[in-house]
This record gives sequence, structure tokens and C-alpha cells, in this order.
Amino acid sequence: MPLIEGRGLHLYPSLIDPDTTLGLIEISSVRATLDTTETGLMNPNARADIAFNPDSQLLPVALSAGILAAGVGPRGGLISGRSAAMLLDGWTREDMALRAPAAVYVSWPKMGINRTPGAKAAQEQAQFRKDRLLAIRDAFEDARAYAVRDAAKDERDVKWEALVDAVQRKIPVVVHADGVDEIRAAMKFAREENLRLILLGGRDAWRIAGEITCPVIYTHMATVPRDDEPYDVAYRAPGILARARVMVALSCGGGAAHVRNLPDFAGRAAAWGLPRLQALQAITIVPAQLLGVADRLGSLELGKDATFFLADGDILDTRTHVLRAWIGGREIDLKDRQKVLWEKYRNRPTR
Amino acid sequence: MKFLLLLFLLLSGATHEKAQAPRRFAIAHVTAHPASRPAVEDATVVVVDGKIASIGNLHPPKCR
Repeated sequence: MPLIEGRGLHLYPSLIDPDTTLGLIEISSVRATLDTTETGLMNPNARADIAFNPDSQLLPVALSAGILAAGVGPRGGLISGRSAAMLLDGWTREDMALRAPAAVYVSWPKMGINRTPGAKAAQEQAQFRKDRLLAIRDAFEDARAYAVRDAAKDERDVKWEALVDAVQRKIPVVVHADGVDEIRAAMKFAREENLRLILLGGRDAWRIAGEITCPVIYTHMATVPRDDEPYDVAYRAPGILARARVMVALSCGGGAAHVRNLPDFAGRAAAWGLPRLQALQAITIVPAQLLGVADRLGSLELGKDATFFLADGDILDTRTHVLRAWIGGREIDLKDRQKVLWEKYRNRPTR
Repeated sequence: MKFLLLLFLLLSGATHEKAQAPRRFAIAHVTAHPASRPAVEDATVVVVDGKIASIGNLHPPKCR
């Protein structure tokens, strides 16, 4: 049996960003490379794993940071579609899909009234919000009715069919909500509809940490605080939530190019009050649990996939390098575009 | 003919086997961070068929 000498090295389970658009975006300013969003408001039948590009140049960059798996979620509309848990190395999207669908994505409407000059009339905004909330509720109630239809007689409807797993609590509903009012409204809605809720975003969740009854995927580690907020609020929020016994996962916020910053974000959360083990868990086992893949990934335990990496130091320290990585016991190539360019310009001849 | 077919299958299987990365290996004397519990110093992690077969302060397995 081949033996790898690990003296002085650190072995970590795959880091997992639970909410990215990896494989759905290549260059955000080039429209032809964007596949995050379907047209219209109700697209529960849209599947991120179908749109996933296994040849994205952004995947090796994430791999180089120890992120060997990620949640990939759709964007836009009210019900954006269904996410997937994907490995970030493989030949085809079928090879790379760990679990699809993993969750239904809902984008919660803004609950406040915009009173800045030039904004629409308050009454018009309130009506707009009411219509959107009604549309979300109707969708889940239609799906519940669809789940008990007579399949032999009634027509198939792919939209409501896509929501059946969510209304039957087989998969969670990930609601994108940042403000206190949106978070409270989303939690109330999930209680009334008996859904498995996961909050995504959670910018102001720390303000009502004691009220939060569901897991939070916190995406605001790099968000500039508002004028009336402490300068370090973005970094302290995960620790505040954890102390209130909220299950917290960290995410880079749905981007594709910045997923590599995930270990740095966990390091910052650890420096601002989140215990170090919990900070590591927020980017490993907790995202694995939220994506429904904790039986295979997220920790180094007997019987789990050998999906891990060797690093030359503490992965929460930004100076640490990932040296080697394996997915299911298969060693993967950690070369990426940034390393290729670094080599190229490092070896540029001088005149 | 049957012999040739069998030979072909055996050879192609062998080639395929060769192309696969070893899925049995061990990493010894590493600081393992299981995430489900605190770090384990000087750990050995054994991988068999792509799965973690053991993890802990074990003696390194017989190796080449």
C-alpha cells in the first residue's frame, strides 16, 4: 500500500461552500457565459445541475483553496429553481453531481417601503409586495394539491412536480432573505407551510439571533457595514448566531470567482468570536448537512469518501497552501489558471 | 476466437486498472482535522476503495 508522509502537514475534509454559482457563471460581464437565471418568476423546475459547466475555469481555482465540493444554486425570479451539491472535479456534470436536487431556492421579496426620492408610491410598493408573497404561497399550495392528484387522470405539470419534494419535506427550501422583516416573514411562512427552511444571506440575522429557528447560510463576511453598524459586524455575526445555538454555514455569497476566499472567511469569523472548531465546521460538516451529503463528505470519519486535502498549515490562516487533494480517493490535479499565469510571468525574461 | 476475445478483455481490463490512480493508500504522521471533533496529532489515515478505512493514532500500515 503506498504511504504518504504527512509529517508537518495537515489533513482536512473537503471545504464546501453551500451556495455558489460555480459552473453557471464564467465571466460575469459576458452574457453568453451566464446561466444562473431563467426568465419569469416561477421556475421551480429549473435545475442548476443541468446548467452546470464541468469545464469552467473557476472550478480549479476553488479546488486549489481546498473547496472540493459546493452547492450550486440558481438565481432570479421568486422561485428560482433547484440547487445541486456538486463535486468540483470530474468529466461530466453527471459524474460531478453528489445530490440533485438538493433544495428549492426562493428569493424573498423586500418587506420594507423604499421612501427615497423617485421611488414608487408606498401603496403601489405594498401592493407589489403583497402580490409576490401571494404568488409564493399559491405556488406551494398548488404543489401540495398536485402531490395528491390522481396521476392516471390528471395532466403532468413539471413546475408543481418540482416542488413536491419540498412540500413533503424531503428537501429544504432555501430562502434568500437579509433584513429582519424578510427573515421573520420567511420563518413565519415556513412554519405555516410546514417547510424545512434554510435562510440564505442572513445579513441582519444577528440582530434577532434568539428568534432564528432554522440553519443560516451567512453570506456577508465581505459586506461593508451600514453607517449605523459597528465596523466589524460582518465578522462578528457568525459568532453571535452560534452563541444563540443557530446552525451556521459560511458562504462566499453566491459568486463564482470568489469562492476561493471561503477558508479566509472562516478564519475571520474565528478571529471575531466563532470558536475555531465551529468555524471549520461552518465550511465543512454544516454545509454537507445542509446539502444532504453528510453521509459522504464534510468530515474525516470512518466509511466516508476520501475527499480531503493536505495543507502546509492551518487552513483558516490565509498564508496556508493546499498541497495535494483527493476526491473519493482519486488524487486530483491542482493546477489552475492563476497558477499557470503566475508561472508564466514569474519566468518572464528580463531585459 | 474465444481465446482472443478473452485475452482482449483481460488486457483492456489490465490497462484500465493501470490507468486508475491507486485508491488504497495511507497518510501517516499527519495532523488530521476531522471537523466532527478536535484535531488528532500524529494520525494515520488509511484509504481503501476511495473510502476512509481508518483514522487515528495507529501504526503505519505495511507499505511498499
